[in-house]
Amino acid sequence: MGGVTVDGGTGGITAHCDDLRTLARRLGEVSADTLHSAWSLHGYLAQPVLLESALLDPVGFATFEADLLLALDGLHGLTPIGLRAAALDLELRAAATAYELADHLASDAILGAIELPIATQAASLALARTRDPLGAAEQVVALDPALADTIIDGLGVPGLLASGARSLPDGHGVARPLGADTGASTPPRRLTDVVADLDRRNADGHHGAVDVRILTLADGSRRAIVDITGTKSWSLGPTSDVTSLTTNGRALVGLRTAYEQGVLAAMRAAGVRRTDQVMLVGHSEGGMVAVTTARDAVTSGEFDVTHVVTAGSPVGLTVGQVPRQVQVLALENTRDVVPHLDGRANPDQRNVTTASGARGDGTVGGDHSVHDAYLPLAGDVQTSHDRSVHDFLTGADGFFRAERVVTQTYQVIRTY
Amino acid sequence: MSLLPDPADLRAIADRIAAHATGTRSRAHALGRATAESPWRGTAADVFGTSAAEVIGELRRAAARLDDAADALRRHADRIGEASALTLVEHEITHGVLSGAVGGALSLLGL
Repeated sequence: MGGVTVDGGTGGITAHCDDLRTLARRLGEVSADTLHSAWSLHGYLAQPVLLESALLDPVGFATFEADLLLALDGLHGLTPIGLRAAALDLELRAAATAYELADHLASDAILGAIELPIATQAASLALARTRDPLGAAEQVVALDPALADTIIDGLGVPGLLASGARSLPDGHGVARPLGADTGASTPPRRLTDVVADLDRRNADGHHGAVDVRILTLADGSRRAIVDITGTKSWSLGPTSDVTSLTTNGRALVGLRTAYEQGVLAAMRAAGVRRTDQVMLVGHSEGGMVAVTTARDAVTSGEFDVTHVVTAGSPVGLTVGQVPRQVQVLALENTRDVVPHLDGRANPDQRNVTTASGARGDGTVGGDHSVHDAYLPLAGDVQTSHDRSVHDFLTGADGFFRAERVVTQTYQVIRTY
Repeated sequence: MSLLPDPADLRAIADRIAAHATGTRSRAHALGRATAESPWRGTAADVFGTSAAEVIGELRRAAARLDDAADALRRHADRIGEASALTLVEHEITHGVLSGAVGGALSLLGL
């Protein structure tokens, strides 16, 4: 089993700071209420009716005054407690700010300014040594994934891809039914099953192949899993192949794509209901499309996408746009260069968990392959004890408890 | 109109102090629940948990002290009530004796 590094999610920095601030807010309320209570109670010490009563029962009056003063201003009285709660509130807020500042200092944006010359030099040396651009990139990625983000962002790769893709007509995506997949009759029980199903569809000869699995649970409720396959065409020109580079460039920066239109059309055709919880699963380009589809389906209210699993997808520029109720698990092979094409680490958000590990066979293709890299990585992640991963899988439990599954397959094609 | 302090006023103040004690206990409970339910874990969280537990304990002790003060005021109100009643009786008796003496003297004088 390989080691897994996890960023973001419910155990990430942002969630951590949210937790700190929630506690700080509660302490602030306790402090304010306690100090207000102490202030109000002080007023009773000099009430005229009490002062008058002192003449008739001076001992009883003195006993009461002493008790109340002790409760208010004694060593452990309300006033010092209120002040202590206020101090704790400030400490927690300061800690949250310090965590975020440290995280920000370690972010790509700051590192980019400092490390770009070093990163460029490292890439150049690797290129000179190997004379293989992809091989050099893989070496840098394997050595330091964050450095790869810095290089790619510094070279302006995401911007170039996006501007190129924007200038190409994307057409309109349609879903052509390929029929039921009777071979996929076993409901998934774990994350590896989900990725294995994606691998199976990915091996399909059809470019733009999409699975829509309708899962039925014992209580009659339904879930749907949609598998979205990755790039099969390297064409830059107009083509009916929806997996072409046009889709890559557009999806990389969060633009809607014909591929997304086709995925939504496939979901409608397969009978996915508004009340069905949906998990979108995508490899590479398919993962990018899964993210934009989740964003748009939830925003429009057409489908209840609750989970997204991406494998080897550069989603750093877009995954932050996904609504908070959608939980995203991004699997990234640290040796794979493709997840770094966005030049940006995935954001640390409560609903975005990035699980990274080293898998693959050391080749460019093998390190990006669902079968050779991401299926084993999914196994590593499945057995991870990390809190963010655990919470994601627990939240997705309904997708792993189905009694029946019916799988329809489609091919998304682009029309003009 | 009596110039003596009214015990009912004192008991009303005692009730308000007791209400503050209840509010303080509620705040301790809410803080305890927020701390227990927080997903924050680790060494720093443990240190905070210790500090929060101290604040919660102190809030509960302060609430108990407020109850003590409210009880002391109620006892004081009882004694004021008793003293007021006694003063009233003395006043009545004194007033009665004086009235009787004055009446007797006047009748002796044939007035």
